[in-house]
Amino acid sequence: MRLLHKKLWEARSVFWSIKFYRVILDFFAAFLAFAIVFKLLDRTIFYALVPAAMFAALRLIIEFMRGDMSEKLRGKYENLNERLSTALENENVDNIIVSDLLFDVSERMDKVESSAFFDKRDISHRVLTIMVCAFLLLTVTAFDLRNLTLDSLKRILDDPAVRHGVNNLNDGVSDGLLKAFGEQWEMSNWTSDKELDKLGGEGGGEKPGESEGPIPGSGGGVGENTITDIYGEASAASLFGRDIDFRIRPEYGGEIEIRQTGSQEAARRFTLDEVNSVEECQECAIAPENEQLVRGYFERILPES
Amino acid sequence: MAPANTGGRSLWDSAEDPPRVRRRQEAEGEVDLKKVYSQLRSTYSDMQTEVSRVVVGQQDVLEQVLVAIFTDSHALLEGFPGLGKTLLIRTVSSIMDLKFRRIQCTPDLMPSDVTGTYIVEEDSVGKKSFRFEEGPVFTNILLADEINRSTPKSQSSLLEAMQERQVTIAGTTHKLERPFFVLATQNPLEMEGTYPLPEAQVDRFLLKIMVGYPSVDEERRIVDMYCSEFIPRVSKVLKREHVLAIQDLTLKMPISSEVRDLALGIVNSTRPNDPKNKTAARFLDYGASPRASIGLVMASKARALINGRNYVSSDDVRAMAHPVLRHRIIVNFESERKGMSPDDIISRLLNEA
Repeated sequence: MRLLHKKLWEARSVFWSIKFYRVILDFFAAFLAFAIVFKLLDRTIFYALVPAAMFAALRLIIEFMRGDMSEKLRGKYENLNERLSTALENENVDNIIVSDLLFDVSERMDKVESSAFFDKRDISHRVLTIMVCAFLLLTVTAFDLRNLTLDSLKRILDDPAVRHGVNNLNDGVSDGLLKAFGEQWEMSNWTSDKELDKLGGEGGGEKPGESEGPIPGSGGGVGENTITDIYGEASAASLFGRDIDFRIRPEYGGEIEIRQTGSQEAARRFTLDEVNSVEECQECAIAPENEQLVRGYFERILPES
Repeated sequence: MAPANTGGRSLWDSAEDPPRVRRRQEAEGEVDLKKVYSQLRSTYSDMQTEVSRVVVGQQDVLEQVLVAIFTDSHALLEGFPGLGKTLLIRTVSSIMDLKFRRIQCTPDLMPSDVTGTYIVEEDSVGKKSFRFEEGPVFTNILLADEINRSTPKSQSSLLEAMQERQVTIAGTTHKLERPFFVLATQNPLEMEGTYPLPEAQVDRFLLKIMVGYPSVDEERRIVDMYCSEFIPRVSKVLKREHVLAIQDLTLKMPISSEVRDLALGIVNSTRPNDPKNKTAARFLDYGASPRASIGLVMASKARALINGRNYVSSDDVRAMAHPVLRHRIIVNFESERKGMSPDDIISRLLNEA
């Protein structure tokens, strides 16, 4: 019957459209996966088009071999199950019951929705795979992972910005855990005021007289490990309790700015040449022209502490 | 099997029309098949209503009896005395506008009492001649009550009538009018004074229908009905041509290859000679014949039809497997030792199918 053929053709077109859409998603996922591999091998990612296309063709063949629309329909619509198979097998038979059956199946086919062929979980997995692959490809492209060594990894992890980000993340997780597990978790992660003071002494802060650092406004503090020797070697670059191997390299250019010292003479920009000369002078003594400046600075901050 | 080529004429043209072709011609010539088909559901409902005026419950039994009638086959009802087997068949025959006769089978029943015989008749001028006196088999519905009480010889007299729809007496063949059904009842074989039906004859019954005890509620209604002055009456629902039309529609019922193969698989699984059929090899001596396959598919078609469907479902096959197969399989000593009835074995085979 032509009516049933028309309905089946419509259903088949929807069925194959969805299958084709899945193959396209597979193609994208394969392309991204192969692109990552080619990127790691230092090849252009466009080479990934070839294996991705082969993979998509293979998937298309598999889908074609596996694709029985009526089986999918019968699985989804139980009331169509045996009706449809009987109608399909007897569509060339001309009798009153078969005609009734074909008409019945045609009517039921009208109620078949495209979503019957759409496997949400399957499509979601494919989209998720594409997203993960895309993220990995961006990561591989942004960071040169080929030169990634243990030392370089350590340097990245020790980077203050990274640590700051990790700490923020940790705070966020802590808040989440606090909300999730309540007071029990809070007690186990409680920090005493004394420890906070110590942290202030080590890490410095903004409050004058208590947590202000050797260079006003830029860190330091007066806790247990108050830093008094601003010309010290490593302590001058202590940050969050960790000594940083701080070196100034004049050959790279640039300048250092000292702000809010209360002295017009001090509050100026030092060129790296000047800083370098200061570094050399540290080994012997304070330059006479700076002695008054240093003395004035300490006299101003000591009574407050 | 396709007719052989006979120079432009088929065998059916040259010889007598085969039963199915003839029945189709009869049905299409007299009634509107489309109308019968469209009203079939309500017709079946009316039949149930009419039968329920006399017989309480037994809906499955009624369905199976009608399946046998609409497949142009015969049915054997088995159950203990007093369960309403004969009443049901009489009621079914009375709602159809068909000729009905009954044979009460006894050990002294002769074959001629079934088929009929030639008697000497003298006309008005004194000339004597043989005249064929038709037996009760010349009817549309034949109730052979307690068929297992008659001798095997008398039972065999029904063989030709059941299979060929004709009887041959003294070299003369007499055609039976269509439709023709034998609805037989029998008591369980353990009872004394009975003769087990020959295997060949049992196989000619499409269905062996087991009649069970009614429920308490049904029995209460039976008692109320038959212990009062109320005389139940039924009206005729089906005409002869309608029965023929429904038989023709049964043949037209489409079936998918999947469902057909399920039926074949079930029948095949009863054959113990196949090494794959472990259950059959363990519990059965003999399996069902290809006639059982034909019967199972036909019964499934008829069940689908009277239930108002336009296709045969696997549920139809499973529902008809027990009545079609239970008298066609022969259990062995092992199953008897374990107390397994043919129905138990069929249930097991259905689970495995």
